[in-house]
Amino acid sequence: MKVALKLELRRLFSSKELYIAILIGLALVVWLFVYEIVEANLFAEQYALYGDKVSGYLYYPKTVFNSCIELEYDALPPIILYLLFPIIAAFPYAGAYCKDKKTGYLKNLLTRIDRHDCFMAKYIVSFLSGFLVSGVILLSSLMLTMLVFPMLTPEAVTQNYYVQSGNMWGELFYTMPILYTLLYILIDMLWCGCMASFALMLSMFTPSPFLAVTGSFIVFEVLDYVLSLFSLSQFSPITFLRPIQTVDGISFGIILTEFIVFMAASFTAFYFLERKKDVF
Amino acid sequence: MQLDLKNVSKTIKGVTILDNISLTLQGGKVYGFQGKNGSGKTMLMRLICGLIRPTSGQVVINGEILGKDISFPRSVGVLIENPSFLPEYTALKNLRLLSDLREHLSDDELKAVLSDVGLDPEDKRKYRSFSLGMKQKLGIAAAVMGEPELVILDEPINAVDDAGVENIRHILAKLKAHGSLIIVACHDREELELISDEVLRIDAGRIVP
Amino acid sequence: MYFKYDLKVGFLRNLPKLIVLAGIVLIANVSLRRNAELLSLNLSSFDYILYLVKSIPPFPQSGEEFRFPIVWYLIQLYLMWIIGSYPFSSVYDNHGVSVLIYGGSRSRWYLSKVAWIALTVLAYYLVMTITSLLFCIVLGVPISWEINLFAVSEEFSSAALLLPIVTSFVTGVFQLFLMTLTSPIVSFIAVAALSAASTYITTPLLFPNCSQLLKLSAFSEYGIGTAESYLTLGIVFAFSLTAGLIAFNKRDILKSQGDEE
Repeated sequence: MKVALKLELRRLFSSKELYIAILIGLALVVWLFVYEIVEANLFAEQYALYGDKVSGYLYYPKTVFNSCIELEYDALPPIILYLLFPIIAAFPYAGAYCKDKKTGYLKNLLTRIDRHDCFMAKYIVSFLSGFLVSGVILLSSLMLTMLVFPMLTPEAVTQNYYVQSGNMWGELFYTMPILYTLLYILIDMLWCGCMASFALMLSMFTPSPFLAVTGSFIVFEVLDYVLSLFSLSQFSPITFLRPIQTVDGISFGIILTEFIVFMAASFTAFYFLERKKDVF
Repeated sequence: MQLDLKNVSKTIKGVTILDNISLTLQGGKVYGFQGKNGSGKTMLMRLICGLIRPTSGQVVINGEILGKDISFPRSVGVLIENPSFLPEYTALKNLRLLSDLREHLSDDELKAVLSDVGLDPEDKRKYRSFSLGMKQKLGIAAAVMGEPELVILDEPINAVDDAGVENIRHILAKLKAHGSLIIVACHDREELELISDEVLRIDAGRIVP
Repeated sequence: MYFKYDLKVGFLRNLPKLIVLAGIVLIANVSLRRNAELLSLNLSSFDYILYLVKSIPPFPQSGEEFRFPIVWYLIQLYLMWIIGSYPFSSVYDNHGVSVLIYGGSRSRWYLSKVAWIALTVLAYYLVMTITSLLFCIVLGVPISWEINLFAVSEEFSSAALLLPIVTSFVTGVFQLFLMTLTSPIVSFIAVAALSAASTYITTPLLFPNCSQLLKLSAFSEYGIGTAESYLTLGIVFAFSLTAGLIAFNKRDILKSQGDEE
């Protein structure tokens, strides 16, 4: 098992897809960071000139907890990032199984290592790829904003924060915001791992890496749409992965249950069913 | 049919794959390309087909410069590396799809080609269920159908049975008599010398005596 | 020559994917019907078709809260997915190489793919329209070309109504150009991101805006002009086609590229 895992990890870290996925995410992080600094400076200049007549309400500075990509609401980069997370998470590794089948590399592996080890290693590394990519992106954004913005404890009365006290862990956000942020980042990382595993499961059904990698994205988007029609957006991963919780009713129970269901489905399909198939 | 390679070189990411190759090949002959793995045989074939552009030099086919006057040789059949076809189609349907791209060959002509390579023209099985040898034979059939002026075959006897190899020899002889220029790369030295009129040895991207 | 092949292999084989589209359209129509009944709106069959491409008004100029236009996005995304799945799917293996060589011309191969995109886009919108019309016929919705779902400005012209189809085609050609330079997956991510960005920022420079009806001046005070849209799309099309042709003509077709994709 160790050998198989080492092999797949080496493949992951030497693949250019991993770095492209991280680069896409970091580009969005940097874009938002520049936007936040420009906006903060602009507002500060206006306030210096006109005082509190600027916008008619109390001046409140930009902080870490409304400027990082996880917690910013009113900007484009977080919208794009959270929308594209399923594909960014799947991109590094989901197509690898398709390529292994196509090139015959899978036959090479299975004649040298145990089937159990081979498929388990692929599944674990697939999960890790999504987990890592999202972690690098989200933690980079948090650390970048920490460099320049203050870590003020959020105050709901300022209306500058998008998490409501009635949301999941709302009270935690207003008392220990860094813990809230880190916990939500962990949820996002686990879910991105889950999305990557789901894409790996799809690669069982198609020889095309394109269809495997993008297929999970389409599935999650369709799911998001269908659930929104029945006012059940809180059950959509694309919706509940955003720490700002744009809809009411999101709960840890829903997030955990869906995580277990998706992981169980992808693991069962890939490890139990695909592992037993003949390899031609 | 005349193929001229004039001081052709190819470099990819700083690595010289083909180094200043000059050749003149005539129709009505079979040329064998022989060399170690990684010597540049397949790259040279890809260059002649027009799939890759030379970093320097020219490939001239019947007076036309490849990549300038024409994108690809006007009449060519290729089998480079592993054959591949559409998995849900039969052998005949796959050939028909390809033949319609250039000149439309009749079903009888396509069936004759399949018979020539040792495949059953009436076989209703889909390509996905073919053995490796059958796939290879279909690849050859696709390359030689319509009797093209230039035929390029990379390892044509891979996984092919003895009867199939005999068929391939007959096909090449027929094409040669027709005036086609045939380029074959093969690891089996004996077989190559048997079917080729001239064997060209390639080493580290160069033609060596 | 290439087009006949693309018609058989690229188009007819992909037709089953349009069944999923019909499903998405039906769900959208059901949702609109439910909302129309709740709000006592009298919608025509044309409203059901336009609902699929209306998106949201310009943000923030319209003063409305930003709500991501999931219906519009999903429909465009699925089309980008279909377009991304075919052109470069087999160009690096022996079959694709044979197709390329036997057809005799890289430019004609590329132009054939552009024609395939046009046919796919037309079929896509046709399926959307027919599905919506059938839905309306079955449910007794009046079949008419009246627009009751949103206001129509004085600048309205029927040329504005063709913009979604033209924009989808141009986006497809742009995606094909990106595929030539990078890979189908990266090009898909790029156009998906571009389309997402266009929901938030209203400018003809983000040309997917031109396929969102409520972002056009024909339907919105702060919208983009129809002529401006066509001009932008023309420029993007000309650039994508020219640059794509040049890039594909210069590209080495190597098996290793296929393995990397």
